Order: sequence, then structure tokens, then C-alpha cells
Amino acid sequence: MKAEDWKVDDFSHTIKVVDNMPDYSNDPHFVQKAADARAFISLHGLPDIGPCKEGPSAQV
Amino acid sequence: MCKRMFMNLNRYELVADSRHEQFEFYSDGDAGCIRKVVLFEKIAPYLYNLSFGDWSDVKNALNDQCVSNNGDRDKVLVTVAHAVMNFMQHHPYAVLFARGSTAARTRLYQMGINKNWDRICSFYDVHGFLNDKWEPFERDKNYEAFTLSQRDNSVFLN
Repeated sequence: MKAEDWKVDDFSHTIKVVDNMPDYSNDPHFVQKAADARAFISLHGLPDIGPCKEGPSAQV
Repeated sequence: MCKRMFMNLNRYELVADSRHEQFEFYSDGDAGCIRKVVLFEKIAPYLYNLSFGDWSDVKNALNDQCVSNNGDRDKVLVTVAHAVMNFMQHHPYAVLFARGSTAARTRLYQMGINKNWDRICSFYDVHGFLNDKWEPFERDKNYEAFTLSQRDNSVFLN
């Protein structure tokens, strides 16, 4: 485990970073949440926001 | 004033994975010590879904629909806000999508944005989905879903 000091403007926080955290994305609840998000975005799209324009379009 | 208020809000210590896409912290309150997980899952190029919930060591599974009633809601919200800011610092081009698994959970996300709005709006563009359309976030509206993206990436490249 290591500690990273990070700073955004005057908003700072020391955060611990680990290499052995479980992969929570395999949890069925999270899998379902991701599927729900894809379905929602497929149906309703996304707002026209800057960062999407700088990279490949976000196609779900 | 708002900056000082935000910085002084109590929060839990966060642990991140090496990609800064998963975060853990422990909520310590009336109902005991509860492991909370915040997950930013990539669902399309540059697009991440925010999920958040309690981890059950008994079931070895997440429950993102439970209500902890741990008496520390504001502290949890500030901690999740820190996780979001840390994630966005490491993924400056990301668009973050958030929609609660229940209406109550979505309101919780909205409360988190409202509570930290003075700070959030200076860094991020936030949109809300309401009445079948996306619009710039306004504090007094109850949205179905949210997106958040960085307003000016140069701020984060120090």
C-alpha cells in the first residue's frame, strides 16, 4: 500500500492506493448497474458535453 | 467561504485501486462499521458509470439498494465526492454517468451534488436528465440521472 498526496487547487487529500483490491466490477449488482446505465444512455443519449468531443464518440 | 466549508467537512479515509476506478472506505456509525464501495466502471470510450453501495462480507456481494441508517449520511456524501474528484483527476477526459438504483438513491446523489455545488460547479459541467431531456444541472430540480465532466482540463495537469 502506498499513500498518494493529490491536490486539485486547494482541495487536497491523502489517499491510499492498493494493488490487491478485489475486482468489484464482477459483482452481479455492479454488472446490472452497468447494464442499466447502458440501456438508459442508449434510450436517452447523453448531453452535448465537451470532453466527448475531444475523443471518440461515446457509443454504448 | 464555501471552499473552507467544504474542506472542513468530515470525511472517511479512502483507499483506491491502482487505476483509481475503485474506492473503498468504512462508514462508522450507529449501525456499526460498514464497508462502502465506489466503482467507476467504463461502459464506453470516455464514459464511466458511477456505482456505490455497501459490501456484505457475509454474502461477499454488494447491495446498492440498502439503506444503512448509519447516521453519517453527510460524511459519506463528502467521502464519495472525494472519490469522484480523485477519479476525475486521474481520468480527465471522462464523462461520468450516475443514476441511482432507486429514486431514493438518485436523490442521495442529488443531495451530494447540492451539498458540494459551490465546489463542483467551479470544476465540472453537470447535467441532469428530467422530462425526457438533458439540461444543465439546477439545484432545485429532482433529476433522474446525472453526467459530470471536467470544465477545464488544464486545472488538473499541475
